[in-house]
Amino acid sequence: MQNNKSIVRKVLSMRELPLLVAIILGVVILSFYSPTFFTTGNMHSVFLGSAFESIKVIGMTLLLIQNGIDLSIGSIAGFTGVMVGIALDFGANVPMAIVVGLLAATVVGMVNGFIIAHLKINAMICTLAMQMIVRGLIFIVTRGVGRPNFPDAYNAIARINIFGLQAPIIYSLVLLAIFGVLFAKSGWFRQFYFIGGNEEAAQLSGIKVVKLRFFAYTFCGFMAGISGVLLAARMGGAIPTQGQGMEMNVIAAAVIGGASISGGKGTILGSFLGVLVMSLVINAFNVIGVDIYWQRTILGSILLLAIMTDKFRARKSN
Amino acid sequence: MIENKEDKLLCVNNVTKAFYGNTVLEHVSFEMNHGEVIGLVGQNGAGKSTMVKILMGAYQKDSGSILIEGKEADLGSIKAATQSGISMVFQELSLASNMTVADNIFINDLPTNAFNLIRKKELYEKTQKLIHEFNIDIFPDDKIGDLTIGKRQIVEIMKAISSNPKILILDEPTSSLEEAEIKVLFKFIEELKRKGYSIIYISHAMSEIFDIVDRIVVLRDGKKVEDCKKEELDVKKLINLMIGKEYESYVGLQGERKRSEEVLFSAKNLCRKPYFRDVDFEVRTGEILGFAGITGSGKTELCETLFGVGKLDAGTMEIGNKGIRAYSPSDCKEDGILLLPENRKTQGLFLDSTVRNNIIASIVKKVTTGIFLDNKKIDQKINAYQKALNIKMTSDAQIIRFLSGGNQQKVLFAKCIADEPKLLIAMDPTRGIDVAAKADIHKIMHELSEEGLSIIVISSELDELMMLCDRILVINAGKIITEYSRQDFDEEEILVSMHHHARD
Repeated sequence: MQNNKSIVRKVLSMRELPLLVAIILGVVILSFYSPTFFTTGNMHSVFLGSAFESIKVIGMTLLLIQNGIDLSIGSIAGFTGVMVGIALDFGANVPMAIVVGLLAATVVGMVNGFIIAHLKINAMICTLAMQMIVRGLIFIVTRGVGRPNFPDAYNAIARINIFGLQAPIIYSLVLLAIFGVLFAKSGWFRQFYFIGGNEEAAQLSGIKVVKLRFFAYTFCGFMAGISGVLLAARMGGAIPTQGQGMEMNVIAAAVIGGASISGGKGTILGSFLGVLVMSLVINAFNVIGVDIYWQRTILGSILLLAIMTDKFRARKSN
Repeated sequence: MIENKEDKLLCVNNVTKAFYGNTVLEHVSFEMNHGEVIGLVGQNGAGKSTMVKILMGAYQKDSGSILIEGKEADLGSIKAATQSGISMVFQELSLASNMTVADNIFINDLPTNAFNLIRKKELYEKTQKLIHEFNIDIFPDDKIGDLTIGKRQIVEIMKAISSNPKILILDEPTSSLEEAEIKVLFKFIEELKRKGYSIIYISHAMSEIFDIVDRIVVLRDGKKVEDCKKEELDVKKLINLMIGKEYESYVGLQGERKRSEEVLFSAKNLCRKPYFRDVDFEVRTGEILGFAGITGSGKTELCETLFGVGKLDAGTMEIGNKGIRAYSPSDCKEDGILLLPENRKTQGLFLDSTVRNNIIASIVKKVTTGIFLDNKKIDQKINAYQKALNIKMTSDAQIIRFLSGGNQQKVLFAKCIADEPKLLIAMDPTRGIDVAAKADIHKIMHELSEEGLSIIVISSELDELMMLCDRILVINAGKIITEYSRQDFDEEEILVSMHHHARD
């Protein structure tokens, strides 16, 4: 009985609650507008559309929590696809190609981590530079044509159905669940919140700030790599512009979900809901047939609204 | 003679203020005469800061009235309050550090010519005049960043009086100063008094209150409990009024106590340019060792270096006969050393986080079972420390920013000892907190040392060191020059030793 009450109270005090309510309300209203909106097929495509960003947002959330940012994840995802393609060209089998792709992504993440954590260079600038460098590398290595036409054996990893759902949806949900629990409950991951909350205090509490920060960027690169591997399989090849601009959507989603750009705050559930809001909005525009040019403006407004709501809530709870 | 209200400079009548149903000021009334200095005292959370913020226009009162020279004053905003004649000097310094003294003092009232350009000569002359009036050793074109904290505080006050306020509010002006600097500041405040400024003075330091003010207004739990001439009170009476019960002052160690002879920590030939050199000392198990020294003596840097903040140029350290490297705070923590930093807000606490999270920050490994945080273990720790330190909070889910300074400091202390270190380096462990909270922390320091914890402590108050320590080492110009055992403590001698010019 008492346990029930405390669960209800816990749910009511959740920071993600307004977002969840907004999503449910939105879905209900939209399904009245359009009979095709709330159908299995359409919902499936919403979740599939958000799967790739959901995987990236896990890494980004960790970075935001420890007061960092990564603008290079779109480029990393694209680069991963290219490296997979090259490996396949050299006759690698599917698992090997995946390993090569993930390795490339992780190395870029490690370079970011080294420059930012060890050399203490500003994260925004470092990863902006890396975004340009890695995107450039894609063009240099492939002479601007990418690596089209991957074999079906490879493409299958993102095209098969698992339990009647598209594979990327399952992959993303599994990763979200694992890291959602770890972020919330593990002592080791709690340290990232301390670093973001007050870096000096974390340092003086004996938390290994440099090491953990290095890990966070490496991890973010790795997650971008997973999404790049899947994206390339979904597309059936690596286009040079793959993943371009994705970092901004991912950052926006995390912030809509409650992560703070100044560190110390953020949850996997919130960030996932943020991704979902963005895909739902894009999908709704397509389904209802509203002028497509309004999309970015609406998404931007949602981002602003989310930040202002959060500020208002914080002020009220004082 | 019946006093007319209009003769009073300031009348605060029945002012009440509540935040979200929490009453923080309840029908507070007091008056102030021209040229009077009143001390506003109370424990953390008594309502002093709220009262002051209402006077300076940062908060709005819920009911009551405030009259200045008999007229209802407009305190609707900070700007309005300034125009009504109230000027405030903040606890945290608010000067632009890469600008000059003159720029800072007249920042709101720069003399300009027809093209709106600054008339530098006039600005410097005005500043020079002000400096001359108070006979202070500062130049108008000094950069703020090059001045000592004490002088910056004086510039801050001069900035406040440059607009000729009727009432000047000083909020803990000495909280970040060392004793030598406090003396300079006091001379300046004496000068202000002589020139007839009316001042509301807020401080935790009893000696300052009795030195400076004419009248004392005591707040407790949002109510005024006393308002009288300072001659009618003494320190003990005042403390009793503040905490609302008979206060048994914590006197600390009585005489010499039996000490373990076992050496826990030893340092040999520690050097770090330009802060200190050839530093040798030992700390015994369960001993409280004090470092006394003025600002710039190197004691702060020495403490930080012992904890791996900053690198040693030379020297060796041992803890329990094991050599240590002290390359980083996390290294030191693993060797059983922890540091209680000087500034709880910027270096110590995670202000937007809960009490619970703050306490586990240095012990995440210890309260983890498998890969997950173990709530039972955390509860145990928190209950133990809440009791031992008498921490007042509604629950451990409370955000620490909203606790009073004393309770914040206690949480910080709990966070440091939660890891059960062998050696605690406590830097100003009771800075800026009220007497009751101070006593709680002093008490637990003694209790823990009885249980075998060794403590190195520095403090801006020599009294505190003399009350706490078994031994005091005086650091002067980066060297340990004298050592005092408890039975030889002599305030004057230690002070002379701290200020004495050490030359090779």
